[in-house]
Amino acid sequence: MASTTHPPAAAAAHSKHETSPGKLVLNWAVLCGLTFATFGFSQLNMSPGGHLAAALCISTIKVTLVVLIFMHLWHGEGVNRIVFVTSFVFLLVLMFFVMADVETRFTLSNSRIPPMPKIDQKMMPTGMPPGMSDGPSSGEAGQK
Amino acid sequence: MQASAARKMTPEGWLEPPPLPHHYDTVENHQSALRFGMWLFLGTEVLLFAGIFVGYFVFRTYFPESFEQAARHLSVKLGTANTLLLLTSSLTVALAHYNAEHGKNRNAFWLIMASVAMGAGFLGIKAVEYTEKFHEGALPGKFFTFSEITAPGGPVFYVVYFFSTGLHALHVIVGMSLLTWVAVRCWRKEFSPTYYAPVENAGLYWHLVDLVWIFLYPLLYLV
Amino acid sequence: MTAPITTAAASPAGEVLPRKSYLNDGTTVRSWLLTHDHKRIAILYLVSVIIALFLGGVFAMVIRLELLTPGPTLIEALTYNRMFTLHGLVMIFMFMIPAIPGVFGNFFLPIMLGAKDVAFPKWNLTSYYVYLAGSTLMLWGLITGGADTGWTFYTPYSTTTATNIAPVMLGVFIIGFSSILTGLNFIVTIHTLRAPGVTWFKMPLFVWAIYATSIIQVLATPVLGLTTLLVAAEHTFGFGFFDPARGGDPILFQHLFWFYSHPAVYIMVLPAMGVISEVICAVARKNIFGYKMIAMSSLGIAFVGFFAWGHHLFTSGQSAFDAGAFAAISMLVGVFTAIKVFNWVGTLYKGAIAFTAPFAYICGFLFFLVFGGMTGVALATVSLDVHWQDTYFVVAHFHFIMVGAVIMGFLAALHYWFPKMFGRKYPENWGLLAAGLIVLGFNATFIPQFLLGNAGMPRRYYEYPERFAALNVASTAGASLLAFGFIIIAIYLAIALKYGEVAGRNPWGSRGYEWNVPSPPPTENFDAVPVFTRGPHEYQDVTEELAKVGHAS
Repeated sequence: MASTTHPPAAAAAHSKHETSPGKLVLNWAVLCGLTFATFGFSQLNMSPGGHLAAALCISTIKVTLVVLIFMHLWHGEGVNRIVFVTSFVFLLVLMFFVMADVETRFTLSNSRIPPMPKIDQKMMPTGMPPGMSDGPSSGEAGQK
Repeated sequence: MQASAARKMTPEGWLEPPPLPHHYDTVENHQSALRFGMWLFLGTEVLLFAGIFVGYFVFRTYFPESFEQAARHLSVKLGTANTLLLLTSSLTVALAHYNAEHGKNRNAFWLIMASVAMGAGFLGIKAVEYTEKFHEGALPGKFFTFSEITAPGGPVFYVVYFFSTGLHALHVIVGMSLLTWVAVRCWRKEFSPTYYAPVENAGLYWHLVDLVWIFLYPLLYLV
Repeated sequence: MTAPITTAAASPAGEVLPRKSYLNDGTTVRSWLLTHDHKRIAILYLVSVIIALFLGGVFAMVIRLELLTPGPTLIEALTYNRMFTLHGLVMIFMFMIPAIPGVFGNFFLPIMLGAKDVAFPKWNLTSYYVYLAGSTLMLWGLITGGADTGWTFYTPYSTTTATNIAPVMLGVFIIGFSSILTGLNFIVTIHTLRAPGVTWFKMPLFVWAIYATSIIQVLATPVLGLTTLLVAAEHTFGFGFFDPARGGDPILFQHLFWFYSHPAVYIMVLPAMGVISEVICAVARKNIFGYKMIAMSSLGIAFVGFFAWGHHLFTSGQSAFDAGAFAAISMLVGVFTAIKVFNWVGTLYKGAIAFTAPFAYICGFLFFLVFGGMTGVALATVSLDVHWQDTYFVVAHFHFIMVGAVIMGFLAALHYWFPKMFGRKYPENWGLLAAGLIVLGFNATFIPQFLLGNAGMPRRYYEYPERFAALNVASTAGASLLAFGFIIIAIYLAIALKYGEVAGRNPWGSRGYEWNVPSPPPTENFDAVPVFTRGPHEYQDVTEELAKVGHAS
C-alpha cells in the first residue's frame, strides 16, 4: 500500500481525514468518563474475578479509543493497524500459555501453600531404578 | 537531524520542509515510512511491557490475598489523578499534532509544553507515592518490611509494582525528552502541512506511555 | 562514472574493476565509520561478526580440549563454566543473530529491491554502533566477572551466583536493541522502497526470508530485553521475582526467556534458508521450484515459531497441558521446513549444476538441515525429550542447525556474493577444499555428540565417566578439522581481496537482481530507478540478454 507504484493516496487521505479538535476533546471527555467508570466499578460488591473482568474490559475500550482516535489509526494506513494488532496478539499468546501453565500445574509446585495432599504409600516407588547401583542411603528405608 | 538554519522561511510563516532524502521518491512515501517505522517501534514497546504484565497475572494467581491487601494500601486518589493527567496530556499532544499539520507552530509549542508539564506532574505524584512506600517499608524482595500485608507474597507484589511503574516512569521521561525536543523545533517554526512527522511520531510515543498506564492503573490500584 | 561493462554474462579475462565504487568512494577512516551507505555498514558488520566467530571458535576449542579427558585437562571447573557461557553468548548474540541479516541483508536488500538505500540509513549506522556497545559491555562483564550460568542464565542460579551478571545482562539488552533496529529498518524498506515492477511476488526469496526474520526480531526481542532487565535487577537488588525462596517462580523466567529464544533460532536459520534459495538457482541454472511455497513457508516458520517455546521447558515443571500443546505445535515447524527442502531439491533436479564451493555448502546445508531438523522433531516428542533433555543429544541437534545449516548458509553467501561485494573471485580449488574440510570436520565433531547424548552424557559437564572418553576424543578431533577449515577460508578470502581475479558484473550468470549492478556496486546502487524485466529466479529463457537497468554502465 505504500509502494512507489501506488499513488500517494494513503498519505494524502491521512491528512484529509484528520481528526478535528472537537472530536479530540470529545474523545478525551469519554476517556475521563470511562476512568471514573473504572473507579466506580471497583467500588461495587463483586467477586475478584468480576472486578478484574470489568477493569480489563473498560481498559480495552479506553485503549481502543486512544489508538483509533488520538493515534489516528481509524483513518491511518492499514499496515500500521496490522502492526499494532499483531503485537497485541503476541502479547496475548505469551499471556495465554503462561497462565495456562500456572493454572494447570500441580498444586505442589505452586508458591501457594496448600494443604499437603494424601499420598498413597503403596504407589510410591522404593529403591533405585533397575540398572543403577544403590548409593549411600538418602535417608529412606528403601528395600532392594 | 536536518539543520533548520539552512531552510528558508516561507511566506506562510513556517520554514520550508527539509530536502527529501535521496533514496525516497516522494514526500508522502517518506512520511509514510517514518510513521510505519514509529508504529513498528511502538509494537516493540507493547511487547516489552508484555512480560511484566504476565508477571503481574502469574503472581496475582499465586498470591491473591496479598495483592488485594497491597492494592488497598495504594492511594486510589493519586492513581486516578495520574490517569487523568496522562489522558489530558494525550489530548494536548493530539491537538499539537493537529496544529503542526496546519503550520500553527506556536500553538503546537504551547500544547506540547503543556503535555510535558503534565508528564512532570505525573512523575511528581509518582515520587510522592514512592517516598511513602519507602517510609512504610512497602518495598520489593528482601527490602520488604511492611507489616500491614499479612498474606504471603507481599514482597512479590512490590516487585511487580516498582518494576512496572518504574519502567513506565522511564518511558515517561523519554517521552518528555522527545516532546521537549519537538517543542523546540515548533518554536523554530519548522513544521508545515507538508512536514510534521516528528510531531506526529513523538505524539505516538507519548500516547503509548498513556496506553500502558491505562492498563497499569486498574490492575495495580483498583482490583 | 564507471567503466563500460562487457555484454557477456560470464567474465572473460580482461575485466576491469569499476573506477568508482562504494569501496573507494571516500577513503578516510571517518568516511567508513560515519557512513550512511548500507554497503559500508554491511562491511563494518562483516568485520565484527568475523571477529565474533573467531572468538566464539576459540572458546569452543577450549571446551573441546578440556573434554579430551574425563577428568580435569586444561582448566578448572569454574573456568569451564565460563567458557561455555562465553561460547554461547558470543556465538549467538555477536555472530548468529546479526551475521546474515547484518552483512548480506544490509548489503543486498536495497539492491534487490531496486532501492538506493534502506529506509533509515542513519538508524542503520546506529544499529551497528549499538551492537558494538552492547557487545563490548557484555564481553567486559564476561571477562571481568565471568558469568558461569550458561548462555541461558536460568534462575535462581543466575540471580544468586557470585559472578558478575548485571553488565552481561545489560550488554545483551543493548545488543537486542540493535537487532530490533535492524529488523525495523528492513521491514520499512521492503514495504516502502521497492522499485516499480518489484511487486511482493517478484521479490527475491532472500528478501522474503529477511522479511520474516525482521518480523521475528521486532516482535520477540523486546521480551528478552525485559527478561534481562529483570534478571539484572534481581541479581543486584535481591527482588525475588524468580526465586522460590522469596515467592518467585523460576519457570516464569524460563517462559519469558524462551518466548524470545525460540523464535531467535528462526532469526538465525531463516536468513540462511534465504541464502540457499538465492544460491541454489544460480548453481543449478534453473528456475526455483515453488517460489510462492518457499516465500510463504518463511512466514509460516516465523509464525509457528512463536508458539513453540515451551518445548524447552518439558522437564522443568510446566504443566502437562502446556507441554502437550507445545509439543504438537513444535512439530508444525517441520512441515514448513520440509516444504522448503522439497522445493530446493526440486530446483536441483535436472538442473545444470556446476560443482562450486557454494554448491558444496548447499549440499552440506541440506544434509545437516534435514538431520538437525528431524532430531528437532524427535526432541519435540515429550516422552523422548525426558531422556534427551540436557544431554549432548540436544547440543548436537542445535549445532547441526546452527553450524551445519546456518554457518553453511553464511559460507555459501560469503562465497556466492564475494565477487559482487569486492569485485574479485576467490580461488575455486581452495574453496572446494575448505568446504570439504568443513563438512567432514562438522560430521566428525557432532555425530559423536548425538551418540554421547543418547548414551546419557549430560551437557555443560566438566567431568564425565570414563566410558564417554572415546567419543569425546573423536568430537575434539573433528572440531580441530573444522577449525582448520575455517582458517583456510579466512586466508584465501583475505588474499583474494587483493589478488583475486577480477570478477566482472555477473561471474555466476545468476538472474538475481543484484547481479545487474557492477561488481563492486557504486555508492548510489543505481543512477536511475531500475526496471527489472524478469523475475530474480527465472532461468528458462536461453538468451543471455541483460536485464534493462536504468543506467548506461
